[in-house]
Amino acid sequence: MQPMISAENLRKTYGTLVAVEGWTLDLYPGDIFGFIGPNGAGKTTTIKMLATLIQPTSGSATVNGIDVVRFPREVRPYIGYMPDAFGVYDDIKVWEYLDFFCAAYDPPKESRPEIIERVLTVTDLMEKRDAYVQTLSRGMQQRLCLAKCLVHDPKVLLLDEPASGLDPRARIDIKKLIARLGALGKTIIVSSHILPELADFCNKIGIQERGKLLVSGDVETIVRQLQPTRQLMISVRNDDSAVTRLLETLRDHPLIEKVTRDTDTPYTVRVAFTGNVEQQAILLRSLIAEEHPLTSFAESAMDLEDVFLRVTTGKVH
Amino acid sequence: MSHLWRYLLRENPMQIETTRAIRRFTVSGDYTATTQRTITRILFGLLYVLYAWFLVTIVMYKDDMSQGILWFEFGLLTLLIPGSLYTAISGERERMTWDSLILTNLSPSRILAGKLLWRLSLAGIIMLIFLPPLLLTHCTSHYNKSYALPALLWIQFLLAAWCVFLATFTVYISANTKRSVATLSIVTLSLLFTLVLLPMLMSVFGVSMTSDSAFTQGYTYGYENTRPPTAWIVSSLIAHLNPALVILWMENSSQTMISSDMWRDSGIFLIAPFLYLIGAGLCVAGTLKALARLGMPMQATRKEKGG
Ligand SMILES: Nc1ncnc2c1ncn2[C@@H]1O[C@H](COP(=O)(O)OP(=O)(O)OP(=O)(O)O)[C@@H](O)[C@H]1O
Ligand SMILES: [Mg+2]
Repeated sequence: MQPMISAENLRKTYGTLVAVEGWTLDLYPGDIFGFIGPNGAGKTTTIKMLATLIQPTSGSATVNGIDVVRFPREVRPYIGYMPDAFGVYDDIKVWEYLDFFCAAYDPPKESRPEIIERVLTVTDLMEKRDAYVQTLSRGMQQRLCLAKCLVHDPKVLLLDEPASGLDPRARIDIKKLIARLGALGKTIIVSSHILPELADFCNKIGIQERGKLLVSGDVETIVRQLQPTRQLMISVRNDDSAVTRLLETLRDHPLIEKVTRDTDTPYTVRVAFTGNVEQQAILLRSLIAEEHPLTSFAESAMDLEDVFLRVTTGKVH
Repeated sequence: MSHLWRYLLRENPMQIETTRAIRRFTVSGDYTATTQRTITRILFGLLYVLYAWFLVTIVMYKDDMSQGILWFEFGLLTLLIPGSLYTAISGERERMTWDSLILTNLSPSRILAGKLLWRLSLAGIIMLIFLPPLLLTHCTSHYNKSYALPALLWIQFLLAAWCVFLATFTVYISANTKRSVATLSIVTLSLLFTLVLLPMLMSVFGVSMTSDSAFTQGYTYGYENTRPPTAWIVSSLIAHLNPALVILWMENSSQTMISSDMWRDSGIFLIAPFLYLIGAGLCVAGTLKALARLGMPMQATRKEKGG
């Protein structure tokens, strides 16, 4: 299958500052790529390069197989781009605003009302159809901007921090909307500062810092990659002496780096385990053999926030 | 032709600019900035008063007011056109609507046509509004008429051409500046310079500052016997293309007056409107080029790098 978005070694420099470097990625129809990085990581720069708005210093990228640098005009109809900061025209109504963008893509005139109806429904703006755009709240304007990206039914959506500034409910709504668009087979890049915000509806994520894509791939693989030790949570029967005995046994185990009593869950021990899955099974077997009163033995999913903090160093350039 | 009409005007999505402009001036409601609306209303109120005054004076005193009306019209249009156009492109970039606009692949010609249409229509409407009092004063004046009727109509053509030039010039500057403040400053300064400062300088250096001869006579003063420097010739030519002065020279009385001004005597000002239109053509070409460059940031920088 041909990738919908394919970038190879994209690089952008501003003078001596390297904003984006060695950016390589392939995305296929239906992929939702969560693009995470701290301020100044180069997310906006990368997205703008893909959106034909900035010329890469070197490297190449294609959208739907078309080179974005050589044929920007041809690429644009395939892209819906939502900038991180955007303005809207004032003195026009919501539907007129959408009609303008729709008409700009030259669809048959009769189909326009239907298209507008559809995007208004999808973005839940039907009620505001006849409102003036400058009277919309920021969150609604953001939805309007997303609606505007959809009028030409693009195959690729480049969304630069679509959820910033939204209330929790609106964030959930927009996430659902993006997930729905992904299910329709669109290829979506959505950027954010916050990894957990993206992880639940993205199938791929990439973490960028100081212009470099530090890791990228599907969510589980990345978490696995970044986790040199497994976090095991082992609980025993409600009995303090059982916990103490368990702590002692584990402390001497060669594959265990650290053992602590968990403060959140009672009668539970948190273990940093350096072994692999087989060794994990052996550990469980030996604990049972030693007659520890185990009630649960589980690997805790590493906190996504931890992943982010672990990968990025917090340096800004 | 009809294809072009449809493409640039009737079915041009940029016509939304016209809708927005009409709303800005007419619709009231809490969605528009109230101060902006108040200012617009005060300005329009003043215009009504002036217009009424023109009419009353014409009817009551039967004076030929055409020159006053023409100058007023000229001044109004010269303020209004840059004032409504300076944000055309640079403003879009400032308000961060530009990226979305260029991603739609709307052609530069469509964008330009959409930007110009309502401003030029407004200028046309203003000229139409001033036509009845002009004709009225022309027909009713008792004494010497200021203008022959053909001259009066020719001045209408002059003003129309001036509007087109001014509009295209403003858009051209707007497309080539990043900030709309810069656009406004450049346009204002160049207008001030060519319309006011240059004639003043020319008259200071070339004219005996007596009575009403300033601006109008003797730009070759001091060079009667030698060929004036080229810079002198060019600046005095530019000064002679000033619509306000052309309006003055078209007067019956001033045509019989003897002057020592080579440009005026040659009647060069008669080609002024055509020069405006040529200037407008150049500005349109320049704007289309600038818009194409702004619409294709990728290729623009590529060229810069190559060249
Ligand atoms: N036009 C420009 N000229 C010079 N430097 C720039 C320009 N645009 C961006 N940069 C620099 O490039 C780097 C990346 O910026 P970018 O806007 O892509 O970051 P980002 O990941 O989108 O950050 P944020 O999360 O704050 O939006 C920053 O260091 C920024 O200062
Ligand atoms: Mg950004």
